[in-house]
Amino acid sequence: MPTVKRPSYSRPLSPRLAVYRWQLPMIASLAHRATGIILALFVPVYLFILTGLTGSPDDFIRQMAWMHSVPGRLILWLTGTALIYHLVNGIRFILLDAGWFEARDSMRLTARISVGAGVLGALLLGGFLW
Amino acid sequence: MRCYSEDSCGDVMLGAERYGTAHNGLGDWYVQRLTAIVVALLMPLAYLLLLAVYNGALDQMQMLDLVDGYIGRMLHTLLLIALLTHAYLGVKLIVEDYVHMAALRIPMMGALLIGLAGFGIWWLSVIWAWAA
Repeated sequence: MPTVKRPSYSRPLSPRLAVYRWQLPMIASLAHRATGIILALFVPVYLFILTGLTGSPDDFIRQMAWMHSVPGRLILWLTGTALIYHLVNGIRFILLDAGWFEARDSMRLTARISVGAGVLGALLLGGFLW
Repeated sequence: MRCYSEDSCGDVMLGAERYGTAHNGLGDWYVQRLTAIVVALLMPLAYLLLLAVYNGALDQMQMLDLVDGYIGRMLHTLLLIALLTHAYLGVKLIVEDYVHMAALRIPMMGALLIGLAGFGIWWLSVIWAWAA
């Protein structure tokens, strides 16, 4: 039977946030999870918007008014920013799975591109919505 | 190449022979990436359409022309199946990493699964009930 030698000291596994020093690739990974949860929470909101916009003309007007209200704009801005980040960083993760950019330097560079795309997306979307 | 001793474990990632105890981790991993690609192709279209309506570039009838056709309904259905599957697997991964108490984790995963399935059924009923 194959056996696996385990080190006698307890080595921290990946999700131990309190143990590892904070670095950009780690922040990019955490942000991917955070934006993923935001987007999962957006599912009911998307349904709410969809039923409003595709309902009667009165429903459409009411839904447009909600989307242009401050909470509506904030939700569209937050979820849109999360979508842009999650999309760019998701492509990064798939490229990493395929074996590209795995070196430490390129991990950091591509993490910077993901975070940069998120910030740029937030600014552009903010400009569009306001 | 068998990885029995530390000397021979250099290439273990290239030919793993022992897959751990779960036996089905690769399935989740693969489906997560497959659905990611579907969502990455279709979700930007949906969001851009939403922004075009927000902006007034499209009125309600023009928007309905785009989403209410057979192709629009099919793409929307494909998007929601891929999206809800992707969301389920993603949240599952996070819960498994951070929620270790079974009494908490099992109800959470159950509520997530039932909740997402419920939204999926509601969403499908909305899309396919539009007057043709």
